[in-house]
Amino acid sequence: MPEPTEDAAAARFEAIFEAELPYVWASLRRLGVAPSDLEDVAHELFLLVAQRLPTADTSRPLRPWLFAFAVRFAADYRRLARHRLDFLGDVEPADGAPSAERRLMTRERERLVLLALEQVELDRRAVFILHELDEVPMTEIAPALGIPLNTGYSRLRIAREEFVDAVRRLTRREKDTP
Amino acid sequence: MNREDRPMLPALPDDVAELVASARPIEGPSDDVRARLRARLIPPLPPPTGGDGGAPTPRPARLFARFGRAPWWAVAAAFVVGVGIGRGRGTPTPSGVASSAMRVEMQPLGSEAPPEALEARAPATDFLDHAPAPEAPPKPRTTSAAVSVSVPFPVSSSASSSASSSVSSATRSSDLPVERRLLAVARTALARAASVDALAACDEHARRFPRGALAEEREALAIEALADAKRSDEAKARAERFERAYPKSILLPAVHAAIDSEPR
Repeated sequence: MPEPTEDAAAARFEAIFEAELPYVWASLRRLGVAPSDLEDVAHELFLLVAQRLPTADTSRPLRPWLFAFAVRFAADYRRLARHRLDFLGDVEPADGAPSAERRLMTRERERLVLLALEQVELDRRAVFILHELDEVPMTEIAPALGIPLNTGYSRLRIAREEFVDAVRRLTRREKDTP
Repeated sequence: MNREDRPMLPALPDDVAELVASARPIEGPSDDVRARLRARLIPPLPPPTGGDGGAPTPRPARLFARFGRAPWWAVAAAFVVGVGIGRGRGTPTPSGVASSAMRVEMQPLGSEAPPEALEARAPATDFLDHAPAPEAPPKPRTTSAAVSVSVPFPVSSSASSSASSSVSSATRSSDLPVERRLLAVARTALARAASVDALAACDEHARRFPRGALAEEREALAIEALADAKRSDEAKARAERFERAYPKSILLPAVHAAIDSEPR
């Protein structure tokens, strides 16, 4: 009786798509996919999610599972150096004059985070995003990314250092810009 | 904030932690983009066409009919294939093309599809106009189980492909969208258990881009398609060549999974 199973899987996929598209979208963005490519990459990612869903371990948290897809797609996407430039192309260079408008503040901070994330190597960035931004415990991150727990902690430690350095560097650059 | 950090793990400085906290809220795509994605992924049930007596129901649920053999990470790796590659700013793609491509992709593929079907399913035909002209006349497309997929590997020299590979070995960035679309056809066919179509698409990619940037992904897809087609000897032979050519490939687990999970 394959049809009911397929229909159930399709319904579940639809529910996941509706609920988790923003998360997948934000994750891909944080992992360095340029805004102009997000739609296509998200599309491909969800196609694969649809294919894998029937055999997914439903006892595991959903978001780390989805994030693992995002990491793999982002890694493939970023194999072209051009995309790294595209990523920056979306972020306007700092003009040295911090916006006085509060509504721009959030956007600027988001850009700073994205630029700083871009300075962290992808494997470490994945751990950092899951842990610091998504607040996923390392005990869930490690199996989701298929890495040993200690590797996860090690990557997190280095990623934190790299991220902090990048933030310091970027903010210093903004301040130094006349 | 996670409280399960190990004690020796230095915390983020307060100002950076605050910055990170401010970036936690998630912002998704616009409503327009969401609607487009939804239409591409979850199309409405098409009206019954009838007349084919038992043809598969053209529903998106067909997506869920397979991929139950290999572990998720292995299949995920197999599908990490040129996603987004080539979608750079130098290669604009009209959004209409992308949408129509997906609508076509969502159609069920039968392994008995006529030769024209693959052409019709190709996401777009515009790339054919921009692609380098093949040096030999296009060979007739085969859809029988004996589709030729013996293609040169990047590390092996092939006299028959030397001329064309000299053109494509220095893969131009403008070729990448074309490569990606060809492999997208293969992936989509594979997702629908249309292994013959998948092999044909891989073959087409190999013919046009024997040493393309996505040759590694093409080979992994072809191996999976061969395994699905129960052509175990060819699949294993090709997998061995793959392993020799790409000993450190991230697709190796997927290739092994395809071989290991081959129907017996």
